[in-house]
Parts: sequence; C-alpha cells; structure tokens
Amino acid sequence: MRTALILLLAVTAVFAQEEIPHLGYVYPAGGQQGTTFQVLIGGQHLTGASVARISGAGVQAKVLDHLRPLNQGAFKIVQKQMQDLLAEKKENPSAWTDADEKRLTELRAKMTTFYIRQSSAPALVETVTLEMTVARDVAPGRRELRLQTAQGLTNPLVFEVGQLREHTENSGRSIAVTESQSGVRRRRPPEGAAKPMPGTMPVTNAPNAQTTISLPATLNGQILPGDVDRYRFQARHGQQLVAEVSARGLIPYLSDAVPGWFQAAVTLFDADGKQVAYEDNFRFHPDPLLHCEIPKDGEYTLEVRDALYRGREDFVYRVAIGELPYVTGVFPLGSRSGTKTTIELTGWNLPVTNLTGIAQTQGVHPIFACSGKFLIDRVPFAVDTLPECLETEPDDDLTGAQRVMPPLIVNGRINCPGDVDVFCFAGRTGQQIIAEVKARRLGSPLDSALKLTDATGQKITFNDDHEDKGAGLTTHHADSRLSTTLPADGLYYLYLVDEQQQGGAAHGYRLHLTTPQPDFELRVVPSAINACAGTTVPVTVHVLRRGGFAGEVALALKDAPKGFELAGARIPAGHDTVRMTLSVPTKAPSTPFRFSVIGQASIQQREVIREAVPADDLMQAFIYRHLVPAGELLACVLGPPQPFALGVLGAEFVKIPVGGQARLPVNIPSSTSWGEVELELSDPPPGISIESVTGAIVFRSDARTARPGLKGNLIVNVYAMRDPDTMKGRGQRKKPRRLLTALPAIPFEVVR
Amino acid sequence: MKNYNDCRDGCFGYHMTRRAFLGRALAGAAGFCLADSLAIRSWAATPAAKTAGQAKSVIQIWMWGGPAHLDTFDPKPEAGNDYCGPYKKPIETNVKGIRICEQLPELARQADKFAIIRSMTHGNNAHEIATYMVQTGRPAGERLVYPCVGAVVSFFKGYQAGYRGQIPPYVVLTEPQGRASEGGFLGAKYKPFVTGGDPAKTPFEVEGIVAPGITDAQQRQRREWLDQLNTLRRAAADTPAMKALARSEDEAYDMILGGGAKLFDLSTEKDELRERYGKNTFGQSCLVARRLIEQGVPYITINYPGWDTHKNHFQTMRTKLPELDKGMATLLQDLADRGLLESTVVWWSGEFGRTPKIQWEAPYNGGRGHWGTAFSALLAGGGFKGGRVVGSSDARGETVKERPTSPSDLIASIYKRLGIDSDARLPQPDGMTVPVMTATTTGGLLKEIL
Repeated sequence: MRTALILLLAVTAVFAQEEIPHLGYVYPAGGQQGTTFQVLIGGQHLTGASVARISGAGVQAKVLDHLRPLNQGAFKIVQKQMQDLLAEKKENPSAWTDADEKRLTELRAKMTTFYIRQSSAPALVETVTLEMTVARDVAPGRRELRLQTAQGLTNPLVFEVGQLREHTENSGRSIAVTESQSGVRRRRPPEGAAKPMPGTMPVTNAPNAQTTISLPATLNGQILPGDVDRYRFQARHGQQLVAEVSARGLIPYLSDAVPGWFQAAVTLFDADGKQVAYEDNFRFHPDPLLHCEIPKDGEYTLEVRDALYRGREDFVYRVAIGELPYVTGVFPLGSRSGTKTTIELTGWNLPVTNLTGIAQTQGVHPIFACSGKFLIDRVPFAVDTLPECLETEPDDDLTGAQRVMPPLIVNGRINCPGDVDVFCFAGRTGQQIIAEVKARRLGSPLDSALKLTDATGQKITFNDDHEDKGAGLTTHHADSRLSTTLPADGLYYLYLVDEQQQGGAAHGYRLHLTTPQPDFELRVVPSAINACAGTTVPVTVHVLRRGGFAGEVALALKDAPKGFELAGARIPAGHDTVRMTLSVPTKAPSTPFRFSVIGQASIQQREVIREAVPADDLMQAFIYRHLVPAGELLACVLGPPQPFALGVLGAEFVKIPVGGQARLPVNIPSSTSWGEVELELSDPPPGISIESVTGAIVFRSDARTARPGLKGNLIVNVYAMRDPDTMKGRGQRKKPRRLLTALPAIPFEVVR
Repeated sequence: MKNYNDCRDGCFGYHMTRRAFLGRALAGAAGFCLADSLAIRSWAATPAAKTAGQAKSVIQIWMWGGPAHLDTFDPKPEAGNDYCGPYKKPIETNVKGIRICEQLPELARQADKFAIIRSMTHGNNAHEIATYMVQTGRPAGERLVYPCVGAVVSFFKGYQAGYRGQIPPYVVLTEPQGRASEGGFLGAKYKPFVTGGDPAKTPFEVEGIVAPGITDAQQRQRREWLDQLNTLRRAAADTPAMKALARSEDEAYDMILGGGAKLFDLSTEKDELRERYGKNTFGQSCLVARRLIEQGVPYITINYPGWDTHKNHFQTMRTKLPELDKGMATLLQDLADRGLLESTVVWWSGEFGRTPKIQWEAPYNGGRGHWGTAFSALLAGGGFKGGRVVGSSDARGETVKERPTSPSDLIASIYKRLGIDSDARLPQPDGMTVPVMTATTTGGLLKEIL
C-alpha cells in the first residue's frame, strides 16, 4: 500500500525543539490557602516564560520576571556598550543627559547579573519569579507546576497547597543578587578558573541564624552548601510533636547528584542544646518524619540540613510541624470492592483509630487524616474485586498453616521480628499459580520474601524482590512475586516472611494468590510534548506486561484535536517499549491542551483498553532511570508554521533484507533557506543505517548485528546543516545544524 | 568545600599524608630495604620474575573518572551528532589508517609509539567496582581484595627483588586514589607513596620530602632537637632493632635532604621542555614521572582527575584534551629520546569509557555517562609494538565488535613485558598463595602487540 504524507515545515521562524526547557526547583514549593506570595523558579532554557500552569483549580500565577544572567559573550557586549557610553561622557560631559544616565544604570545592572552566574549550576542559572495566589477554598494537596516558555512546556514540579501558616527563608538567588549588586561576588574566581564559571562560587547562608516560629507552621527552606537551618519555637510538656519533611517528595531525583536527592535530616534540641529527637528517614521513605512527646515546657529548636552537608538551590524543603494528625499505617491495606470494611488506623494525634466504610472503585485510593480543619497526610488503600480473607494466627509452620483457596487476597501482617506466615492450598498438576505480595507499594515497611514448597517441604520456587516499573517513586522493589506451574496434585505451602527479620503492627501486606490474569499497563514519555506546528516529534510508550501477557498493543490518541496523528503506534508482541511519532497539524491550538494515549490489545478473546499514564524518564545518581508518573499528558504547539513541503512517499512498512537494503521514496528538498538538508536515524536499532539519495532514503542492515526478525520503528530526523567552515566570527560558535522535524515513524522488519 | 556532585572522588579517602609519610619514612619507608631486620618480614614467598621481559618500569596514566573513548582514541564521526558531538573530523596520525580525535594532534604524531586497544570491556558502570576491576584485573566481590597492578609490580620489582632506590618503588602523582591503589592482601607495605603537592608550582611540595617554608638547615636542626629528646634511642642504642631504625632514619633523611628532594625539583629542567610538557599539573607530572623512571622507580601512577564529565562534557574536553595531548605526547617523545621508552611501559586508561550517546538535555547540557561495555586503552613502550590498533567497537562505540579485551588480558600483557609470569604466586596473609593472574574468557594476552 502506498501513502503520501505531506508535512509542512517551519524552517526560518521556529525550529524543532532542541533546547528542552527545564525546571530545577520551585521555591517555596507551596503556599497557604487564601494567600498571595512570590515564588522563585530555577531552571534552564526558560526564555519567553510567559505562563505558569498549575494543575487543578484555584491557584493563579503571574510571571513577574525572568532573569538569565549574562554569559561571557553577552557580558563583553554589555561591557563594550558601557565603555563607549562612558567614553562619550568623558569626551563631551555637557552632552550627558538623564537618558544617558539611565542607560548607564541599566547597563551596570545587567553587568552585575554576570556574577550571579557563578552562584548556580548551569541547569539552575535562570530564574523566573511568579506571583502566586491560592484561593481560600481550594483543596489542600499536591499540584503540578510547569512553565510555558518559547520552547514549550517544562517538566512538572510539585507545588503544595497547604493549610498552615508558612515561613520562607531568603532564597539563595536573592543572596546572589544582593552580593552581585554590592560587588561582593566580583572577587577573583577560584584558582585555575580562567573566568567565573557557573556554580564555582555558590552562595551560602549566614551561619547560626535562627528563625522564631509558632506552631503549627509550614517551613520553607533552601539548603545551601554546608547550610543548617534552625527554627525556634515554644512547646508544652506532653505534646505529640510531628515534623514531616518533604524534600525528595518535592524533587524526586536530582539527576546530577549523588545520592540522587536532597537527603534531609532533622534534629530537635531542647533549650539546653540537648538532642531530643533525630530522624533522617521514615521507614523506607528518604524524607524524614520526626515524632516525639515533648518532655517539658520550654523552648525547642528544630534543625534541618542535608545528611552530608551538601547544598544547592534545588535542595528545597517543606516541613509541616506542630501537634498534627498523622496516619502512619492502616490495617488491612485494602478491601474488596463493595464490601463493608473496618480499618484500623495507627499514627499520632488521631481523632479516631477505626474507620468503617464501603469502598467501591477498584484501584488504589488515598485515606486522609483530618483533625479539625487540618488535613495532613494520606496513605494508600487498595480496592480489588477478588474474594478476601484475613490472616489468622498461629500460622507459623506447616502444622498451623492457614488453609486458603485461590483465587483470593489475604490481608495479613508480620506481627513481630522472625514471624513466618504459612498458607496451604490444594493444587493440581499443571496448574499455574501466582503469589504476589503488595506491601511496599501500599506504604508498608515489609520487605517480603515468598517460598513455595510441596507437602514434603521440598522447595519449588522462591522470590525476594520483584521489580515493578509501575511502582512510581517506590524504587526499592521489596515486594515479592512468584509464578510457577504446579508439578503434581496435592497440598502446597506458601511461606511469607520479612527478609530483614523485622515485624510489627505496621508490617501489613496483601497477598494475592491467583491464577494468571493477563493484562497490561502503559506509560507514555514525556508528559509534556512540545512540537512546532506542522512538525513531527518522537514519543515513547512503555508497556508493563502483567500475568504473562505478551501480545501486541495498538496505540491511539484520545481527546486530541483534529489533525494530530500517531505513526508507528504499535508495540509488537514481546516488546516492552516503542518509539513512535506524533505529527502536529499546521493549524493547532495555541495553548497547551490535555490528551491521552490509549492502548488496545486482545487478551483471551477480549478487547482490553488501557490508558497510558503520563510519565517522565528521570535519571538518578547518573545511572538508574525511573519512570516518574505525572498528573496529565500535555501537548504544546509552538510558533506559526511557514509553508515548506516535505513528502514521505512509500510503503507503510519497510522490509529490509538481512545484509541488504530497502528503498523508501521521499520528497525532501536538498536544501532550505538555513542550509543543506541532512537526514539521520534517531536511536537507530542495532545494525540499521540510512543513506539519503535523490528522491529516496535507503535503509541498510548489517548482517552481523541486524538479525532476521528485528523489528520496530525507524525515526528519521531531518536537519538543516550549515558548513561550519563558512561561519565566521561569532557564527562559528553557533550550532551548525538545526533539527527541522522528524519524519513520521516508519515500521520496519529485518527479513531473510 | 568540595563540590557535592563530585560523586566519584569522595569515596577514595585514604592517602599518605606528610606526617604519615615521615612516620613511615623514619620507621620503615626507606627501610623497605631493611625488611628482613625490621618487623615487616612477614612472608616467606620470594618474588620471582620467571619470564624474560624487556620492560623495567611502568608509567600508568590513570584517566580518573573514565575518559570518553569516542572523543579520544575511538572516534566515530559517522555515528552522527548525537554521538560525536563537535568532534566530527578525526585526524590522521603518523600511522596510515589510524585516526584519533582532532583535539590530539601531538599524540597523532606519536602514534607509531603506541597501540590503541579499542575493545576494552568489563561491563560495569560503577566507579569503585570498575576501578577495582581495571586496577587489579579481578572481578569485584571475591573473598580476597587483590592488590592493584602497582602493588604487584612493587612486590616483584621492589625492595624484595633488589630495588635499592631512595624513592619507594610505587609512586603516585599527585592525588591518591585510596582503595583503588591499595596493596590489597599484600598489605600496607605495598601501598604507594603519594606525592601530594603540585609539580606545576614551585617548589613542588612533595609530602614528607619537600616541606614548605623550611630550609635544609632548619630540617637538620629539627632532627638534632628530636635526637636530643629521644631518650629511648640512647638507652637501647645497641639493640639490633634500634640500629636498623637508625639506618632507616638516616636513609629517610638522605631522601629528604639529598637526592629525593632534588629529584622532585623541576627547576633543573629546561624551560622549553617544561613548556612542551605543559605548565599544568598533568604535564609536569609526566615530567616528574620521566625523572622517576630515570631513577629506576618501577611503577609510577599519574592520577589524572577530571574525566567524569556527566555535565558540560565538551566544554571540559576543550580544556582537558589539549592538556592530555601535550603532556602525554611529550612524555612518549622524551622517553624515546632518552632511550627509556623501550624499557618503560606507558599505560593509559580509565575505569571505563563514557556513554556514546550524548545527553544534550538539562541538567547534563551535553554530558556523557559511564560506559563499561566498550572503551579504549593505550599501551606504549616496554616492548609493546606501536602503531597498531587492537580490536574494535561497533559503529557507535557501544559494544565490542572484535576481540574483546578484559582488564585482565591487558594487565597480564603488561606483566609479560615486565617479566612477571602469570603463574607467579602472590602470598596471602594466611600463608597460602594465589597466582598473579587467572585465565580469562575474553581475547587473552595481547599477542598482536607483544
């Protein structure tokens, strides 16, 4: 079948996105209901930031300014302008005007920004200041904040709507600005640095400064190198003080740092300077949760710092402190849909310790803790459709094993260190059984391990940790899962333990004992897709296969405006990911809009449709990659298109003989007004290369690396190239090539 | 304050300070040669170099952090901008058919002296583990902690093998690398002497040898005062141990006040030569290394930091590559001019390469990550054939295409040139011995260049 895909390219006005706008931090990362305040955002490639987009309703933001400190080149230009102006003044003082004086002041102000550059890492060097207004009646909780810039939408960062009075210390940037204006930063750069390099002279906070607060409150701070923030307050004997820190919770991964997040540590001191309490985590969460019963009336000091005394502007924290209600755990961790369930709550300052209700909708839902008007934390609660039962003690060995009949979910608890829960069920020869623990993913500290034996005690299979790429920010995959085919008719015993030999009221679990239920989940990356009108951009979709599902998944757009099209929108059977493309029409909405990607697959003669969860692929500690879920999938169309015809003419599916070549007819001009056109495969599969010839693209496969059966999508980028040898002066430093667009994804297979 | 995101360097804490060096010098460093009479006579095993090797010494240029193989000795201009970045025009060397990065023109003129191994692999992307693997030739996680190459060479070529130099047989210029350059189960005796200081500054304040602001006369005066306070020495002056200690001390002071200090005094070198090496820490370290080779020091490591370029990689390369180019190329030429290259192995490598695909986006802004699947190493001198390329990586430098070479293969080849037989045994503290190297599943000895 032959198709003709005609695209219109914007060549001279707007190029396809190469400098992705990036947010590094939001400070403060939240605000109180019914208040208006300023928020500083640090990042890179933020030119043209005009709109702040906050998910949900009730929070309004206005962009006040964008500061991009001068770089070396721009500094020299401004310096020259100032020298020329001063020379004029010297030459002819009588001609000096107020306008000249104003101009001189402006140039001086500009020049001072050069020294700000030394204070920040390149990825944080630009700042945008917002005026944020949070409505009084808006629901508290987490939102996503993005900026819309000339290059499109940024990544999302957390912005919290809070209920408590907020305290915010001066930002590192404000210190840098003050120091630059006062000349303090114009000292010699560190030895060996030829010029003031970004991040080489970070700002620091005044040591030993203390802030006096009254409880309850939310504290906002930025930990700079070596920084320790101290808050002094009065507390009464017997108060159950809770201090909940959000640091990694606000910025999950500082991808260019080790460890990969701001590892906050909090210490409580009494008036004599004696340590009363200390925390640097809460169970498996890196963010600390400090609780203590105040020993006597008096003054106390809360200290916040990084565990390693590192610091940077993106070491942003929020601390909710006071006699706050806090749920540390629930039991059971879930219930059957439509069934009346009583939930036991544990925590501090709770008005009730039991809740009874009926949960209806399948999924994981938050349970809130409220006390009076304060609503603080939320814990996950799972709702499923399978039958459920409670674990009954004693079930610690073969003789006491609790008899169960799959499929069902057991709600249990490892009650004490060393506790073993044993379950017995009857199985048949060839029966497939899946046992899966859900604990960490539901907030339990349990580090489970599962072992399956036959009636004689002979081990059949064992599992400690099972990686679930859909677990979001819970990246220590401590939940276990085993899947096996039973060898004979008879009784089987399933042992569940805590691998760390821990146990207690908090160590709850939901044990799913089922037969395979093939299914899938999808993640679409990135969560904000920026594209010029009339161009095509790559989009990645990951499939998380469940219950042995290995089939093909067809992808489609949902709620996208007319003219938006996917190409290569199919995840082949057995594959876990696909890079496809999204083509944007020339006439598209000028403001960002929400849409979805859905996947459809045939599972056991049923058509199953799943919506992809938007996510961003973030790196931790230079090595690990995580799919961090986002609240919404957004598209942002940039710039007015300019008519420039580009055609891809050919088969929808390219078969490349192993060791041979395939030809795809195209209609691509050889040059644009910016330069020669060049094609390049983006992330080419192993052994596949391309060559551009007149009127066609030739795909080649290397017989040594590209094996028959290799398939997927080929994404071809179209660049406009300039010969750098012809670029003189400053032009030489400019990029010699520009990405114009990608071609719509071309599905391929290497064949014999 | 150390930049918090200098992740790699913080883990390697130990190095020999001036105080520690003096302590060792006075109680044993110079007394390495007196091991039989002092308490460090621990093992019965006698070092034996069984095979004939023409190399006597090694200069290891340790590219700390992992250099990008694509931007040094394995350029891939055809892989496209996302892989080669601005380095699209590799240059021909003085050996036809061998091209290297355009930022290394001086080394291109020395290519007939070195062999490039473009198929190094160990598959590990963690600094500490990869460093251990490349420095010892052993997989991480074994029961024993193996000594690094420098310690093994020190064992076979050092004091117990007849080395009589004033300078310890294993020297590190200038920064220590802690665990990665330790003696492993051979013990602290085989740890390197770390110079500290900066040879690009005058004076080069070598830890324990060249003290800042103290003249030789002051140093002698201090020794006299110390002697006056040392009543134990006088009380037990005739005991064998105290006599041995006195001899050690004499030798240590000889090193501090005599030849040792002079050896590290680069002002005796011509300015023109110092300029050719590059007036920076690396370039001048190369010059010091050559001077140490002239004194017969068997193993010198130049720890060359700054190659862990996760961010702003190409900005860093613009500074680092010319520095590397001048220093290393001049070292090779200088050694050759003095007839020392044939007896000196020059080994260039880091713990791994860097991700071929460039991370253009913020916060990396053109960065490269860790890449242990395929990377490059260089060997020159010591009888290794120059002007060769061993093995190859694929079109994008992501995997090994031909002749996988493990660190073990490379180290065994160096040992062979030094005359250290792979079957030679190293003594463990429990009295057992283990072979220096074990067989590998990769390409084996680098016979192509041996």
